Amino acid sequence: MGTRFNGKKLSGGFGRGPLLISVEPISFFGGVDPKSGLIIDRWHSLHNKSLKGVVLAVPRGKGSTVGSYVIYALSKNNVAPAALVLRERDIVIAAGCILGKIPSIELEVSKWAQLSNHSCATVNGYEGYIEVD
Amino acid sequence: MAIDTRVLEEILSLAFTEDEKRDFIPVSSVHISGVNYYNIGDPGLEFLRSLEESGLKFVVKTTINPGCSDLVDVEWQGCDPSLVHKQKEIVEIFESMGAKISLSCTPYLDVNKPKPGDHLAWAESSAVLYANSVIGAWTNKESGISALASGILGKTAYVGVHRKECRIPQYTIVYEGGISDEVEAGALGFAVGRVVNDKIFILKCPELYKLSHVRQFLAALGTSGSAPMAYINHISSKELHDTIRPSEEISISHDEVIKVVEELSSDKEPEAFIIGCPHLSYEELSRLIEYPLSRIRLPVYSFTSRSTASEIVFTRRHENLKVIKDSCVLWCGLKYLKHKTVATNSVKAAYYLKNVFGLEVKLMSLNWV
Repeated sequence: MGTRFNGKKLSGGFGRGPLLISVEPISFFGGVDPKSGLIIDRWHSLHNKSLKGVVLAVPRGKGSTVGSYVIYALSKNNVAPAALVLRERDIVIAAGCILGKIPSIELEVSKWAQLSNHSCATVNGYEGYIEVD
Repeated sequence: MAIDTRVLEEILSLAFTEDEKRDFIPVSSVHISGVNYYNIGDPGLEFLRSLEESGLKFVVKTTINPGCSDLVDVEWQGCDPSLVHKQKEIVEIFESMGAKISLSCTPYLDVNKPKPGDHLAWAESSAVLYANSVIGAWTNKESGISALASGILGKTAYVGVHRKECRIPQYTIVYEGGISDEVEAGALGFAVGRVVNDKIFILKCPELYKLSHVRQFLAALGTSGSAPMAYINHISSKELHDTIRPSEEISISHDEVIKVVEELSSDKEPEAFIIGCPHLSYEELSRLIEYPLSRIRLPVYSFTSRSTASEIVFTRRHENLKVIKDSCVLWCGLKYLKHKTVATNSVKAAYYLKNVFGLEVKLMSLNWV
């Protein structure tokens, strides 16, 4: 049984995968390739990492407002993250998660910071929590 | 996927925290991003088809961002006809839903001019920043999809900068270095966006006063950060004078601005010059067509709205200058031309041309072309 952190639900669903933590915000449009799921922003610290199947913890989005469509496309192209865990509410990311049926939650700063001690997680987007191994 | 108003309500409600009262506010206009086929791809087009099939219509004035092709003068661009066909289909869907076919990222210049205090649901980041910071209108930075939902439902969540108490600046940014041209204005915006992230701020920068420089500043700010507004000395409406002064002050040096230019800019020789991100205003395009031909040593591709282009009287013919309407700088013609390196005076364009089109990009002021 892992440790559970309760957050706030954004979009429903269950997702499980390795935790990938981005310490900085991501611009999904221009920053992530919707076909491969790779982070293509060469100035981002996770450059070239794949989002496919991971539980992505990211503070929030930045930049373009069409990031929602990129998240939706990641899902349609089967390269989407298994779930997203945001530190701050972000409508660009959350709207993409609703359309792409990707579970997502919002987690307060102190809990979000503890995720880095773990390698794998399960997100319950219906009830708004993350369980870490 | 069947889309109904329940899903759209759910999307708008994402803006509320769980303990927040779920208040909505009517909007007087909507501006939608996610029109360019390169932005949304086939999955986005399929989503828009399902919206149209659901019979949903816009109930407030709704304008749309540019696409990826000049839809008036199509042939000369050399673009893949199937791609142009898809771009036309996207635009036709918006038209059938009742949007005005503005195809412009600068609606505030002509087709969708808000008044100070108007509540809006706009989604183009540079236009959101302009509406809040220069005009004094009130809009959150919407997602392309939440703006669509607002256009159909006629309202937005009454949160964020729709509330006076959320328009209070958190920082004062002080920049005392010079701004020699539009590239440095954009680089300053990019540097500030990285520092402030999503926080509203006051900018103390006596050198930022030309509107064309302010537009470059705001477009780059919206690229590197997510702040919905800024108070800019000399430019912002009287709201600036009434606001609380933040205690935290952050200085940005000229060296940091130059570093952004160096970071984003390639040293390879450009094969074309891209101008018009954000879309050129009437004044900017008028200046460009009067530009001395002998100084233009590269083919220049300029981007503006069909509305602005229709007002310009072309007094002479420029072989090297093309004026492209309806399209963003992520333009299908650039794919056809197969250039490896292009120049631009826009920091926002440099970021997206590099990351989305994979081009080498050199940042250059128009003065140097």
